[in-house]
Amino acid sequence: MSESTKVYLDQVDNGYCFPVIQTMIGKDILENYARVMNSNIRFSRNSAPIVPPAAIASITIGELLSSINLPPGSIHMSEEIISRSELEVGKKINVEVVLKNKSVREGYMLISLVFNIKNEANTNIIIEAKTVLMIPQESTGE
Amino acid sequence: MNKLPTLIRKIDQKIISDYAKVSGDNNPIHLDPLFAKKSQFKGTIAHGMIIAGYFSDFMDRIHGSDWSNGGTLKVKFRSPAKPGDILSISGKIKNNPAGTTSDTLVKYSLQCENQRGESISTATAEIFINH
Repeated sequence: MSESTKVYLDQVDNGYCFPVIQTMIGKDILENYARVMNSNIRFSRNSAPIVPPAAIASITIGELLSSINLPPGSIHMSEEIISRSELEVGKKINVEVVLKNKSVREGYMLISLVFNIKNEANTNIIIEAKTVLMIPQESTGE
Repeated sequence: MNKLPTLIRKIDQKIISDYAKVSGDNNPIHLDPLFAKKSQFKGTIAHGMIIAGYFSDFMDRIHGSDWSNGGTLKVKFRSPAKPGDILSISGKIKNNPAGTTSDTLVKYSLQCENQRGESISTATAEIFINH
């Protein structure tokens, strides 16, 4: 995503809905995730291989962050992940994200983002998540 | 309280860099030693979602597919994990799930500490189990 199309968090208000992300977590991505995480997660529990909830959250958060003009030095403060249903590997998902709350404290902006991750037809919730980030108003690296 | 088997994970810069590639989170606080050295952390730090993933893995080992189909994980990142850290992810059952109802909510208290016993992260997890 080019810099000009990125969302600037200081220019949007509480309740802002980010453009819906349509994505898919394929076998290759999942295998890389499992290797990096040194995970013994089983991909074939039932009839179809599934994506672990933390992998869904990690990858969709990463995709969202790439659409935001996030200053260097931003820190992840907390994360909530509620798994509503399984996601099969290779199935498309829709990721809806809302800016739930934005506040400023001691030179940092605290941001709460609420994620609703649904299946392609939007008929089934797979994950509900809440991400809290602490964003420096001025780069800490300068 | 029932204590559960501890999960041990070592953090190094390769894991952090590889995780950045997989997740797409390329914040320089994780990847750029020069930038990170000037930060409050004095060096690169691991992504919080790596720790959240370890907690989720911990629960997956106990509950298998049920964890992906109804588990709730709430994580607070208290102090960053850094390259060289050896993390212990442990947990206890907070409530007594024994009961007669068909579905019982089991609550876990989880923690992640480094090799110096410093708290990196704490979490709670909840899941309904069938008797």
